[in-house]
Amino acid sequence: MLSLIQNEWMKWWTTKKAKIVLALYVVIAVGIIIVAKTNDFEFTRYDYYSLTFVLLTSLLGIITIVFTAEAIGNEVRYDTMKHLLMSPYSRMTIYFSKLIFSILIMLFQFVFIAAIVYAGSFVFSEVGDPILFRDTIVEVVSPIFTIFMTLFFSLLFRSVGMIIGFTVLAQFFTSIAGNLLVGFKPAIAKWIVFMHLDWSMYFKDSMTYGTSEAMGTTLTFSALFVLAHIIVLLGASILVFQRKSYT
Amino acid sequence: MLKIENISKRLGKEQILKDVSFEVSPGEVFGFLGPNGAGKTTTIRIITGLLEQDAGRVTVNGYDVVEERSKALTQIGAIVENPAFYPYLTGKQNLIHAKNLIPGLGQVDYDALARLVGLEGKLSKKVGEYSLGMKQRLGIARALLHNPRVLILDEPTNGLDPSGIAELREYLRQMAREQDIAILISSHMLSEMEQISDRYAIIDQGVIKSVESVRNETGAKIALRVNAEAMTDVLDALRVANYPSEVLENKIIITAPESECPAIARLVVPIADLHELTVKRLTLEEQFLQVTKKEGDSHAFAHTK
Repeated sequence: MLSLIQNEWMKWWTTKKAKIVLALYVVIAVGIIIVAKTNDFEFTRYDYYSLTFVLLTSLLGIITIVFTAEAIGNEVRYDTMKHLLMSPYSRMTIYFSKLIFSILIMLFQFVFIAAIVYAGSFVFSEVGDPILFRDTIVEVVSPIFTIFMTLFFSLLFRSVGMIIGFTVLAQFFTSIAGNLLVGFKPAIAKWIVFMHLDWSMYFKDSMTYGTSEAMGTTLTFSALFVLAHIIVLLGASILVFQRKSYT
Repeated sequence: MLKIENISKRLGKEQILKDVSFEVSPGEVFGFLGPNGAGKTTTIRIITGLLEQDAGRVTVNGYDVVEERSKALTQIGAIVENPAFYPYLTGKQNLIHAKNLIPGLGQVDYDALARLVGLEGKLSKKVGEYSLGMKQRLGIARALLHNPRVLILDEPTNGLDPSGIAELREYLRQMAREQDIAILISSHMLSEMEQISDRYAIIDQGVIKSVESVRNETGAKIALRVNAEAMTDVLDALRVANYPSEVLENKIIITAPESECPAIARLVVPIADLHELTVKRLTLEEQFLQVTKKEGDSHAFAHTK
């Protein structure tokens, strides 16, 4: 399994895209500092950290879809999937190596973003509210769910573009529908999984606080609901991958 | 070494393979011939574990490809359909990738491997910059990376120029001989297969029509020129010894395996003056026509050169 993950790393790191994405995070983090300083924004460390971190983790959500879609989509595109499947490793091991790598690479970027934004926040002298580890860590739930969903779609569609498009649209429209339903029919909105990916709604000092009260859900409910979806997506993916013929 | 026993496969409503059986021994180059759509690639996909058969069994060095998948596939090196690589990785990185797909494989001498397939000094180039011929060579290097006992090459000469084909031919024959590897090559190019293979199987519409030796074990044309007075006695002796023969332009033409030449000479010499004994081997195309004629079929594929 480790050697398969090494292969995934080699394929990812060799592309220019990987380095460009990391550079992009730095450019945005530094860009916001420059904009804030040149325009005399009264930013505290907390303001800078929370704004930039949310911005970059939103970008991470899109980047995660792209990288995860390519993990399987590129094997189909370059016709290399057959070589993976001809190897002595089982299809299950191959699928899990892709899944684990996608999670690891997302976590790597997540930590990278947290580190540069935290370091950047020291440019501002005023401390403001304390930066909470809790607010940082809850942001990881959404990209993890995205990985499971994208991997599932990559087994249904052959083109990387289709996988990305379908995942983004599914996420976008369902989230809009969910947010609209919170206003009118919150009892229905609570059954949309995308409404449970932002766990900051359970913390009083958060901007999203209140959504969970409208839906009548608890953190445990959200956690279990997301977990159940992940299990279904994982089971369906394994089932499809075991049977799929790459000809 | 590689044993295919009664495999059948249905895809949708179509029966792709029907009761396919053949065997490839160590040190043998085995041609797998058939027109496009005959079932060659499906058979290879089953051997390499990409597809599971509905019935029958494939074993590699005694390991069942379905039951003992990991052990069986570790013994196989293969190029299926076309050599596919990651174009943004170098040749060496692609080989490292392939090495990582074989559990427990130790150090690999990539430079020696590159020398072996004629890619010396080219492994640091990105595969996207390779020609088709270079990709074929890299594909062979990848297939040989783990010293497999069975090598499977699906249309390996595609994209190679005549000198490349000749080199590959020599290389494969030498490898089969020296390393005792069983080599299965599929192709629809009869003239190429004739020069590479020891034996061959012809598959058509999912059925094995014939498994023969390229060296004319089933029937070469042996021509004898003897003194005219002894002609009748010689024909009688050949008939008694069960050698089918006919007279053509003052020569006796016998259809028999090439290996029968000494026995025929011993039979003729006591009763006639033997002036000439020549052997005309049947081309693979002629043998193919013979087989398909026997089976009542006829295919344009036989004339493909």
